[in-house]
Amino acid sequence: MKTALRRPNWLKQVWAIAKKDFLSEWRTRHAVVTTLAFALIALTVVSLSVGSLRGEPTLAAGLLWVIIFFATIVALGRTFTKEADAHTDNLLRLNAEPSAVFLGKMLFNLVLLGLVAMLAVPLFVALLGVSVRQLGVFVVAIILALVTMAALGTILGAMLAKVQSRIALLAVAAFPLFFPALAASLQVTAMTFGAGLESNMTPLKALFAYAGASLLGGLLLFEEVW
Amino acid sequence: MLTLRCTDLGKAFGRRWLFRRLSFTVPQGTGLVILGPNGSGKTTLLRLLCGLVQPTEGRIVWEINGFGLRPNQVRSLLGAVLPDCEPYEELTAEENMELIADLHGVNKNSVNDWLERVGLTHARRQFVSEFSSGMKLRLKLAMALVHEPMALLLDEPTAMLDEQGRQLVSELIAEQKRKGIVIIATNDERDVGYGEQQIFLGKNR
Repeated sequence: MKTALRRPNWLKQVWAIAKKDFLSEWRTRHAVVTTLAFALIALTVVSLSVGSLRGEPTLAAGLLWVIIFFATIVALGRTFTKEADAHTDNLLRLNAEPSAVFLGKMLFNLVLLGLVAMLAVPLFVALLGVSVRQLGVFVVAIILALVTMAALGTILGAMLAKVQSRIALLAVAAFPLFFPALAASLQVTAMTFGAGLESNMTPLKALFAYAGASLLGGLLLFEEVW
Repeated sequence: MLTLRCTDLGKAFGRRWLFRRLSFTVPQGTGLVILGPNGSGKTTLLRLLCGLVQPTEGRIVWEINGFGLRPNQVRSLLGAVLPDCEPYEELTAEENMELIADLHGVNKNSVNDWLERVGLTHARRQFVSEFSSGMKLRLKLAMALVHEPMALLLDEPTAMLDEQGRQLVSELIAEQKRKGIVIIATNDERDVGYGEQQIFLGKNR
């Protein structure tokens, strides 16, 4: 009876799933290599074609978020596809709480996107000669946008894992969902590349609210799509 | 006291019914063997009982002392060996076992005990991608049992095993029946004796 109704520690489940994904990725390096390769190739092409973007804060912000958006699609597409292809998804369904699977996978995705951003964003700033006026605000905006994209991308990845042409579908389905976060990030980034945020903190607050809503929505709704 | 109750269970894919009006009760301490030709729905029935798919009609209730359990409570009760429930190939046997132990909050000492029990101690640091199908089945058995589930669901548990492996499965089933329920889907008539009850799916039903 004691065994039957054992209630596992939810946080330990989250960590076990994230740890498993980090270990798998460390061994195969598939997601890191493809995502980084995409980001670096896109960056190189952009910097070769447009040269310096000093004095063009809106265009620079737009190009940065186009690169981050598509790098995110490349990264998130594999999270559940890999599980479905290897028939390991049912192992998680049988042994873990759906919300723990969501958060564990989301943590992995967030770290992966964070790694890509840590490499791609400084390179973008250096190659395109952009100056960042409020580094703290810029970094917070990127973190909040990545949290949003990791949370929403994790849910979409689970929904589309068994669908054909899933990467193309992920990009199409992700865009409207990511749009509010992308629009707010774009505004904040353009401001930090230009005159600064001054007193207009609305886009940053909107980004914060959307990141929180995405995370909470993912935790609550994941069971329905898993 | 664990009991599985299924009432008027049916599963259809599109307009084709795989099976309909299945009713049975499996009390604690007994085994159920599901028999039938390929494509008759044996694995699907196991997946329904695990909660991996939903029935088209009917009800599945896992209960303890007469009280029905919620899906999240059922999860910790079950251990399953299914064809579409594979270990991670890029992890070692030990890492796969530790993952399941962590997910169920089980002491990691059990990992080594179970690897020894299924005869995989020597291969515990070997990647699953290097395993033979028989070794993989042994690992899947250990992964299904490491959290000491009350109900064990097995799909073709002896299909890829040698005589020694068949003996191991036989012992594990006998042990499991003493503490809970065993449900086996099989084509092999030698496995019929594992259950006090048999269900026939397909034309022979």
